Amino acid sequence: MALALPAAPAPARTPSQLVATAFACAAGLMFFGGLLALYAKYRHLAGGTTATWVPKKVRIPEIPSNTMLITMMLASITAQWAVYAMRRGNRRDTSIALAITGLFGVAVINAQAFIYSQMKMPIRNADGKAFNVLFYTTTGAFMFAVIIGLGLAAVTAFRSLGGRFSPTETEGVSSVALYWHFLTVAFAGVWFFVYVTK
Amino acid sequence: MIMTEAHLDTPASTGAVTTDVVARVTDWTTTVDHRRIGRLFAGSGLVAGLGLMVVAVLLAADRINSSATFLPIDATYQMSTLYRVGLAFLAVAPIVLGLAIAIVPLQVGASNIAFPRAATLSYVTWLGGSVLVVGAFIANGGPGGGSNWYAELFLVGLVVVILGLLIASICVVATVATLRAPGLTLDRVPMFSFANLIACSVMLLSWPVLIANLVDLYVSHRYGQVPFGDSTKFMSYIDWAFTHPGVTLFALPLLGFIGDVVPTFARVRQPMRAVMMVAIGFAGLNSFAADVQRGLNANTAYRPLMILVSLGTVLPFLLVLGLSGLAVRSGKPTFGAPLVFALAAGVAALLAAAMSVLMPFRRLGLMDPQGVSADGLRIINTTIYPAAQASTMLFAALLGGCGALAYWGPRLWGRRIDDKKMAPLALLGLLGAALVGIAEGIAAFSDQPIDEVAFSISGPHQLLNVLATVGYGLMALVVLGTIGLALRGFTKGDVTGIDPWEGQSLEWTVEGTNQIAVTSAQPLYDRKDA
Repeated sequence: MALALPAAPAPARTPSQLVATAFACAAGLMFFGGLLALYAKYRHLAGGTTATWVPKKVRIPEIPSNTMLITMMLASITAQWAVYAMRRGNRRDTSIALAITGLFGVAVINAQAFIYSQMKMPIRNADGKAFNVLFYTTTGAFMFAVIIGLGLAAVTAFRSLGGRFSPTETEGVSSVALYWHFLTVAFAGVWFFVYVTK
Repeated sequence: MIMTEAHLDTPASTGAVTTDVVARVTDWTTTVDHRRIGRLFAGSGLVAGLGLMVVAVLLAADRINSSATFLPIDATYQMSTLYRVGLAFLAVAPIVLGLAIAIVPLQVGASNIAFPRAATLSYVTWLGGSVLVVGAFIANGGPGGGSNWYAELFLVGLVVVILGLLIASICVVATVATLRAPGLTLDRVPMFSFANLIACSVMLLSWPVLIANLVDLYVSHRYGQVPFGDSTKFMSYIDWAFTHPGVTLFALPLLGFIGDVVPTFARVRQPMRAVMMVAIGFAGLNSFAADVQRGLNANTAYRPLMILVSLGTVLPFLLVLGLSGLAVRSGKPTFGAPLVFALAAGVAALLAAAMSVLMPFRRLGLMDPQGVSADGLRIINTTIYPAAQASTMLFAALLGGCGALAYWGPRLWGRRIDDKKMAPLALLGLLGAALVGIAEGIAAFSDQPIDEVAFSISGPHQLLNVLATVGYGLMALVVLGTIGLALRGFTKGDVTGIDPWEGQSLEWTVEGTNQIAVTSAQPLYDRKDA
């Protein structure tokens, strides 16, 4: 009778991608921290009140910005749902969750575009106030970050459908989810400084 | 027949040569071998360093007679800012990160760097950004540039450069954090890898803030120059990243290099290794400079906290050099160019750190604005002191890079640089760094302004600027000598074994980490002991 030992367990995968994403997200948070610090600094130099900081004719719509924050939170939840689904080997739900995350991202970009169209504010401010430049730079940088998130979600969804992940290999999906959590936190900062405090 | 053959051969052979060159360039620029990527980074950094040293020598020579300058007066401010920005991001940072990409995976027992394609991308990104930055300066752009378009191109180029360096940092951090050999716990990681883990982590937290500043500067400059003003103000918003305390970040891996080289040459285990690790960690914490932006708050340099930060800059260098002295004393040191470079670079860094202690004292006025430039176009932010301190620290890092090349070169090329020719360069480098730091530092006390060549001040500034010119010249010689000796040594030098220095950590073996039990920070030393 032949005896055979069971195969040794596969070596644990090193979470390089997740660690790298965590560091990249930390760098991203510092980037938005830098933008918001400049925004706060120049707001302070301009008198420190909304009346002295925002040009008189400019009205910042608040409802779309609040909607954006809620949408980003939902995107964070659906991104985590993708991780949950992949841990159970459910590729279809993973892709659906990532697709919904992407849709939320598109909705956020749409809301931001709506805010721009409602404000009708030129970047070049004739009054010599810094608000215009810093508003567009901060919100524009966030839109750029969301577009990167859309690309990551799309690629990961297709990779999921293509069978590149499994219940024991969810690192790629977790990394994308982490990126969307970072986006939500970054937008919370942008929302508070730019849309609430103004 | 002959004519036909010639007709066929000539274009075919030319085509073959062209194809060969293209294939080699493609091969190098798309490589996923971490050693090649590291060599590309370090080699490019050295070449950039040599070019920037020539610029520095010209500027320093022009300052000797400040009333009759020989360089075009409208170009000197741009040349000075190119030197300061370039030395940090186009020369020292790529050398430091290139060596990290090449050596760290070997030190932690990984088969390659984490995300090798991203590491290649980081090099290509950095190179592209560097071309944009230098091109912008050549086309009358950059800080104080006459062309708005090229001034903005400088900002874009610098963002691209920093993005490239940040991608490289992520690869290094992920390698140390996740690809260590079994048994190689974080406290057993070789000192160079540990220092790079700290340095890259701080870069990832600090330099994104610089990118934020650059993006804001770009948009502001493009649309009405509000609130940051014209291109003459650029430096006041970005120079925090490469002046004290941010400049220490570039020299952090040097501490790791010293921590690896000295015990190897002294043939002992590093005494109080944990203390050295804490010192490196503290130096990293102390070099975070995003909160010290003089463009946003002119008084930030004089905050009481800055006294502590400056003292905190001295302490790690003092500790690492002191502990290295203990290692030398307790062992039987052998001679080697890397050891001389490590000690010379350490002393130069200590001098730079000591110089920083004077900066926060308002009474000395070293960080005070110096009025308007001679051509009336710019407000002069400070005396030359912070630039002198930064140059000294960056020279120390550069010396460390040259020494690291001599130390790990045999592991990358299989040949070694001639020790006897290389070692004197370290002493020349130390002399050069000291001359620049001390001469320009003293000139700052008579209010010699930063980034200017035309000024009217009292004191022996001519003699001091002659000494500084000699210092820059010596550093240029060191870089040129290192390039020459490396080219010769790594192509025609003595063929060495895998471990010419009897090293202590995993990079000096090719047996694979499964053959070596890692039970301490010096696994190869353990094996010899056994």
